[in-house]
Amino acid sequence: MLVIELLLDGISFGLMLSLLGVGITLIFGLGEILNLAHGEFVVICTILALIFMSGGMDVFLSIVLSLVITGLIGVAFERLLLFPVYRERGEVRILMGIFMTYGLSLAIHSYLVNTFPKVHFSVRLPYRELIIGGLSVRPSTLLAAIIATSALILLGLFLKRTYVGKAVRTVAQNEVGAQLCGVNPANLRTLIFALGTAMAGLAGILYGLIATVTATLGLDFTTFAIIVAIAGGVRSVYGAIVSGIILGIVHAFSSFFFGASLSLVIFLIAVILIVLARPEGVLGEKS
Amino acid sequence: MRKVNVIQNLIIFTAYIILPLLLNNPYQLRVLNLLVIFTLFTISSNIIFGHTRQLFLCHGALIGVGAYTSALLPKSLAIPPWVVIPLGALFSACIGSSISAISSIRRLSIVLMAVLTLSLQIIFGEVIVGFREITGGDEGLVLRHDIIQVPSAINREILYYYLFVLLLLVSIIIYNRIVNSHIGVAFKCIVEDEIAASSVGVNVVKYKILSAFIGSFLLGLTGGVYAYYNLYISPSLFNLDLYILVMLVFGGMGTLAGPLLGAGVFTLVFELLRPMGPMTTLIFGVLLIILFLYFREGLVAWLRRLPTLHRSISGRTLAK
Amino acid sequence: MSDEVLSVKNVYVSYGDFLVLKDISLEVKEGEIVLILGANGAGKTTLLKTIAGLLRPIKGEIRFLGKRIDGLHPYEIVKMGIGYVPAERDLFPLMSVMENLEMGAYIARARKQKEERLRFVFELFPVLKERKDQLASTLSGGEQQMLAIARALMTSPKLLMLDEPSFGLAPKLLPKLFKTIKQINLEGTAVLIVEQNVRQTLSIADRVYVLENGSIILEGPSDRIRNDPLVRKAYLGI
Repeated sequence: MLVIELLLDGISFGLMLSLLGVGITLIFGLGEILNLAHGEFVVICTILALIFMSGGMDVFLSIVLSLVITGLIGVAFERLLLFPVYRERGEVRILMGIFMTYGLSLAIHSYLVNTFPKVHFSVRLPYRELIIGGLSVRPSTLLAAIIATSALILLGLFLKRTYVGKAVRTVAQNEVGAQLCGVNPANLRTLIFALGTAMAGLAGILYGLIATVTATLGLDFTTFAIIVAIAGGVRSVYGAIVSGIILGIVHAFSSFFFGASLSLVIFLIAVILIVLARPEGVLGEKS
Repeated sequence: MRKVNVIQNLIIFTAYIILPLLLNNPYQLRVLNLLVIFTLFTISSNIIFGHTRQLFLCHGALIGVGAYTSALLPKSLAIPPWVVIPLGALFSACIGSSISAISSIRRLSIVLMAVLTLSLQIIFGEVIVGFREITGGDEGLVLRHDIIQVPSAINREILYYYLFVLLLLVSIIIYNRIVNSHIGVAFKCIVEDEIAASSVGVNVVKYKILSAFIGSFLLGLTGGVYAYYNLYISPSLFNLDLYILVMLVFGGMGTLAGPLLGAGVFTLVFELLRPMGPMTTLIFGVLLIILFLYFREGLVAWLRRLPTLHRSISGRTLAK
Repeated sequence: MSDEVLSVKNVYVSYGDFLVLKDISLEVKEGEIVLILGANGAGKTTLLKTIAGLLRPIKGEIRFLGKRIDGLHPYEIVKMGIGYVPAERDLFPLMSVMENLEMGAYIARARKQKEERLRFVFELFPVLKERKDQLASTLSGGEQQMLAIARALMTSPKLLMLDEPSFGLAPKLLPKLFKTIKQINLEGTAVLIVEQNVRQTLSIADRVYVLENGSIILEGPSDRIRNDPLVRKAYLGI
């Protein structure tokens, strides 16, 4: 039925949104920086993949390589450009972070749009559709959902089971306490930035499975990422995942019934309402 | 309370008055007009952000609301522009103060406020495009009537200039009145420490809403007049927040001269960069970063410190 | 000199323009329990924070096991062997007791001894073992204090610094707390403790420094300090 197909589309898109939102959440949770340039990393990654693929490299290798490089660019970004933000504390730091990443996002966006105006990134699978249990499912949607879910699960395992992942959580919960356990918060912040931007890149690649990524979309991706993160409670990873899926479903249904432009407005209004009703977000504090 | 340096102000005032008469080229006059317009925008932002720390990333939308209201109302209802422009300003003011009210009462953090206003800015664009039969959508709206009917292009620019300067003068006077009153004291407390301010009885919410109202009113008013000045408006013209913030931060938040200096300098910079085309945004983005790294207090604070810098270099040993 | 674990020499610390600590010199020798006494605002917490690396002195030097530590990051100082339990405790509220303790053993040196230290810590504070899967934020004040101390112990410190460990604890828990501190000390950890609760701490301390208005006005073995008339009047209310 139509409803279920829309639901599946929505969940798949929502998982991509979760990937975006989780990056924002982690980066904000650890460093109190709202990364307004997040969406640009999505575009950077897809452009890199495109460059590698058109250079003849195997698709899979291109994607992996561009994810890694995107993460490294994230590290450079954080270490070279954001260090003055860390010198401040509290509200000043948040403000500075917003302005710095805002400025950087506009600079990067302008550069990308000018240098790669004709770039279209999309990956098309050889199959058009699968019939599963009487439903018509696009394999691209399915693949995107599977990859996104795997990435999120891996992230969850990392945070819950590994020492480094736990150290990340400690920095988010109490930075002084983390230091007193011998944890170096600066290194972890850089690690998380790399992870966050790589996940953003992955979201871009997956988006290329179901649609097309162009250089201008950076701002849109950032907007989605932040909205998902905020609706989930800007410090909660689970919240970002849940709100991503919910908002993905909202988007799928409203796009279908109302068209892209109006659905964006509906999306934004939905988010505004969530924020107003529960400023702590869907799930509240950071897990 | 600072002593009003009468002579200094008179010089500046005179400069503003005679400047257009020294230029004889419509393009230069237009730049001058934009300078004053952006000064007005920056003063508004100063009131909202500089004085009460409310991070609005939707100045553009508020300006646009004023512009579109002033452009559209006379067409559908037979109200003259002179009435409509303040109405449009009022509409902006209502929206701005609602945003402020919701954010202050719900105690939203700066992050949430930034996101909220960013969303509103986007919604504004989408709504204009969505209702394209009325608003002209992406292609924009051409205004057919002018509030100033003058045949010569130069004279038109000059007359509009004086209109904007009049607006500027009134704004400055009102700004000074506010800042030097109990409202200004409340603003100072709020900027210093909101929690402390409310604990001594300052009604933080009321003052924030008030500042948002005044600032948004000015934004909408300027937007309305701008619509008639430009005779053309479109949604893409109103993505101005980056520039306004740069001008405000560079000039110096919370001061009177700050917005004037900031807008003055950057309108010129912007015009100089115009040949670079789309890369302008890139450069402005980089500028914003550099500003925040090295120049956060703004030009005004820097200028004020110059005499003391000189003194400390020329001979006084630093006590330790 | 060689058995000095911690040596603070002529340290000045300021908050902005305000000089909080003036010309502080003190030392902690191996196996000692050193007490820093002082009224609120005297600068006791500032002193511990400075040693732990959370603040930087504007003058003077701090040496731990002979190496300079002033100006190092707190996590580097922890790696060298100082365990600090701040007055605010700084626990991880959304992690379980067990996870909090495990994080204490994050550094390489401590990770090797993790099982051993866990056993030690559970012996000292059996209630933590009972509540090991509970979230830290659900513990009572006294239990949180114990967890904070236990977590610092998990870092295998050679010097344990405690900032007002008795604060917020029910009076009947105090004798056990101080007995436990003495026990920790007997296992080989030097202890630097800042306290307002004078009487009980004096009984376990070896040496005492009295801090007033940012300067050390009195120092000596705890017997002598206990009987000092100034101290008796100001801090013991006698």
